[in-house]
Amino acid sequence: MSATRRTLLLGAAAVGVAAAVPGVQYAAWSMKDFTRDGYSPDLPPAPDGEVAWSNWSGIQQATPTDIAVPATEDELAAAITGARHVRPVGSGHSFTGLVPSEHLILDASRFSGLVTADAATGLATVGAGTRIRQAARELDTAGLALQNLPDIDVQTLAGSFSTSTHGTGRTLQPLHAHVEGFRLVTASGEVRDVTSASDPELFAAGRVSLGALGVITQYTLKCVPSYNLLRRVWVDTIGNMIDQAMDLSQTHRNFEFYYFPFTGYAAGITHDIFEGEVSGRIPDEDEGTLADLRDLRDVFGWSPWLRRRIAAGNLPKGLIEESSDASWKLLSTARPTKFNEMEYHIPLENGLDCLRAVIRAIESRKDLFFPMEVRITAPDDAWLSPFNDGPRMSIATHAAVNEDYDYFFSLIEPIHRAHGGRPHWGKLHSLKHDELVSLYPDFQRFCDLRKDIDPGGKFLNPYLAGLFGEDFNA
Amino acid sequence: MKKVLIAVGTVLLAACSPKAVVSPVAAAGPDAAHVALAETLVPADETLAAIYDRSCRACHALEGLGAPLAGDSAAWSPRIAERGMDGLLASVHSGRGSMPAMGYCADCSDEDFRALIGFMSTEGLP
Repeated sequence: MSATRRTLLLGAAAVGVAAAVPGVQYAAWSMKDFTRDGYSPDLPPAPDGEVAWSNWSGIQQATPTDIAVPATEDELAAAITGARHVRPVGSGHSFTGLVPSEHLILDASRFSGLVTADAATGLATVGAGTRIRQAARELDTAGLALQNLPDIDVQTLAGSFSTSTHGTGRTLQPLHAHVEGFRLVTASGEVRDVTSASDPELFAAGRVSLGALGVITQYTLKCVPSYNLLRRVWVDTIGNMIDQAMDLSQTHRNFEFYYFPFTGYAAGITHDIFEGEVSGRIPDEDEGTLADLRDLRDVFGWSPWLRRRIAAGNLPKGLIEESSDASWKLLSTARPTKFNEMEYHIPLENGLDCLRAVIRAIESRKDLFFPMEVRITAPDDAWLSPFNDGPRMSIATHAAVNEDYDYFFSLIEPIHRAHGGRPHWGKLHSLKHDELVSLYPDFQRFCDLRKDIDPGGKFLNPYLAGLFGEDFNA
Repeated sequence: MKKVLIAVGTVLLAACSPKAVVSPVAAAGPDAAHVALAETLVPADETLAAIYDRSCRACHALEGLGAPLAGDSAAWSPRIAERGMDGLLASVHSGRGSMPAMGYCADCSDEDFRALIGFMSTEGLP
């Protein structure tokens, strides 16, 4: 849909609404500016001798002395030992302050691509700076695939594993669970090959380690033979979706759903193993569509009743898409529309109650429009994996990149906390050391191991120091 | 989200219109041949191909993300006409749309970026 057509439609709609409904309410709403205070899409100005860095959404910024992109482990070790503090960066898709540094930011994306692959054992060694889509494509050419993928595939392997990034699937573990070994360059420049056999504690800590133990240059992954999936997308009431969610999660390989706030409707998505000839992926057109949902909020947001009625009367119902393709082509894409996000992982038995409470909270405000996402992940055993004590339901709330997200903390996070939630490491949350110790049985163990391997705090920044209960010595 | 939102957004907007009869305008996008081509194109130069693989390909080889596809010269020519090579270079430096500053290649030189833009904006051959 062209922008011109959208403007025309809404222009006409606005005139119609203004003429037909309480004019004062509409007029007040139409004057509203949803842009949050302080929003700027620009990079921060960098003084001489510094460079500017920003995360994908722009809310984390820094002016380090350099962003180093070493090509070899020797160059990497030299960069690490030569800097006072170092923060590794993947693709900058974390919303939390994991990366910002006024010292050195280290980009490991030259460590990319498939190193070795063995179709017989399913073991593949891949550069840790490889972005997920490149890894998936190159594994596919070797007849292999990752067991599951997250929604977004431009993150690097190290960035996604280190923050416990996950896809969805009742029996499918987060991505890092399939790490069989990794190579770590430590604060002293030492290169260590780590497996569960060689160093069980470092292995348990290092798979999800927030870039706090060193810089990982490659992973050995347990893969599965390449597989195709059948994707089905349908629209149903949120009530039905919630009622059926547990069954659907058990009968499909991958199940997730999106709730469209203020509509009463949700879109379910399943993926199942597919053996026939594939139909091919249907391209996404999220950007224009999200703009449409935003426009609906802009015009009708003042009346939740009207917004809901319009949605209920006009949304498609039932199956709206069926397609099949290689797993990596269906499970993930880059996301064209920028946003900020909070995601908490809730013990599965509390998940749906938590979701209902979050929906009530979101719909207590009129100004939100971004879909919420609900997924389920199977447990693993990394020390800092949010999923390490049982299956969890992940509930994600998004805000347009230029709009307010303070309510994540004031309105949504207390609900997640009350339901036993653990935050996604890369997504917005307010937790510090004391809360994390109470949430993770092995959190202090991780902190102790970190201090042991990096006594000088080389890989700390102020944010990480807060997580680990350390003082940051700049 | 993905496909469902298109349907959702479209019908909701149709509902917003007091005159529901609007003839849809076909969105100008790449044809199937260009979408398929973009999946396989890589620069001939090995070094450039490695950069393209690790930094550009996830978005510029996949339709629907807002990025002009590699090999789809029709998508690139209006951008070049409007902003020029220097303007495109400035976009990579500062970021544009969902592309971050430096386009996932912090160590790329302007020469690298020019060569990558040159590759992507040249009409692809099957």
